[in-house]
Amino acid sequence: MNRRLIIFIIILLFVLAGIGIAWWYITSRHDVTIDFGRDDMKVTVERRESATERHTVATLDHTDTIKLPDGDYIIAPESTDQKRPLSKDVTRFTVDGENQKITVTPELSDSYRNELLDQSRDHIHSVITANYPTIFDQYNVTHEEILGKNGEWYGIELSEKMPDSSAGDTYFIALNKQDGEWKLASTPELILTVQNAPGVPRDIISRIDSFYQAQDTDD
Amino acid sequence: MDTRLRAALTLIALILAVLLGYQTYVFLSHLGKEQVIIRVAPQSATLTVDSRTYTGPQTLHLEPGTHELSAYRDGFSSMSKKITVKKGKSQSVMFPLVPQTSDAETEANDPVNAKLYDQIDAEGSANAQQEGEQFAKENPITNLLPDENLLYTIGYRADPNNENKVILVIDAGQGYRNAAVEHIRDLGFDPADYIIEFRDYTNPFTGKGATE
Repeated sequence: MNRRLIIFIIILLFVLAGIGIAWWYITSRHDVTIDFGRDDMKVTVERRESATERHTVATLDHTDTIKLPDGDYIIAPESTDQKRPLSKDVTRFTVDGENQKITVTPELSDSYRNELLDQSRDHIHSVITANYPTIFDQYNVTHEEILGKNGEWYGIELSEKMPDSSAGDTYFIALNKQDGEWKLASTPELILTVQNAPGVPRDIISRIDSFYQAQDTDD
Repeated sequence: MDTRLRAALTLIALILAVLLGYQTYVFLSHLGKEQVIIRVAPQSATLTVDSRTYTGPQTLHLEPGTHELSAYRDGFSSMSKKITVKKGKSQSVMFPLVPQTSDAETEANDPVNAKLYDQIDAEGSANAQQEGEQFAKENPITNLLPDENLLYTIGYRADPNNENKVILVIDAGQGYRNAAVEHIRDLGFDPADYIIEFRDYTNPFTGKGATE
């Protein structure tokens, strides 16, 4: 009888411990929704154990919700279209006791955007010249980039040509590709703002305005 | 006795019914309107709100939208204001009419009116302080402006088309305007979020942007 009671108690303890572990496991994990901002990619979610050590916790090829314990993570995107490589910039996030949603929209890789720029430069410059005929006579192109999820935006920084070493003004223009045609999306401005470039997405405005800082850094 | 009790109860019920009816009327007549407290001195001044006239200080309930208010009294300077009543926001409007004649001066100095002028003065100061705090809270960059150095000055002015918003005004020579914009970023604010005007400047491509 005593032996049976001891066995019962031991089993009960195991069951309770099992319930406890299951409870801890469930409550220590939180829903993280990885929202795909584009379809032509897959992502690898890795947990950062230290500055150099990390291990893969999930690989996703579409928007999905995964359960993750508290910790630091990165999301590394990779293109599924070999012809359109994506930027390898990772998205960092931290799980800290709450569910969350992370949208991942990597842009095209630098090399691919440069390739697109080389292909489109003449067309883009001709669109600018058609509106401002003498602009490239009076201003130097100090920075230009193809931007946006599918390379549908373009920004240019133009610095005034000065006869001596005196400083001139710097202007920025945004263009947008619609139905295969590049069109002006802003007038040349000392800074693009949500007010003077209302049709340009806020993140594209920031990227184009940051050309000036990039130039400063280069100097 | 029963008849008296019945009469008393009927009277009480009637009074309650009248009170309830009045409250319902007040409630319904104020529905969708906002409170506007109008302080005017002297007490005998004629107040016009849109096309209706009143005498002395008033607490009114007005429909959201623009309303024209004016105050007038013989011997005093008249005042008029256009106010915008916003949904869910009560407001007060002050009309301290300035005496122009000796008779008006005497009227303004009588104890009742003197007290009214003091109240308007105190409330006006409190409102101005509150509005200033609200303005600074909504535009924290104004706490850091004007910012000036040898190359440029960054200031601001109220945006006439956007209540409680500012337009940043940059005074810089050619070649330093972009540096001034970058300084806004250095202050911790994204210049792309603001309307920015450049003094003595015309955009060579658009012809716009010239300010005094």
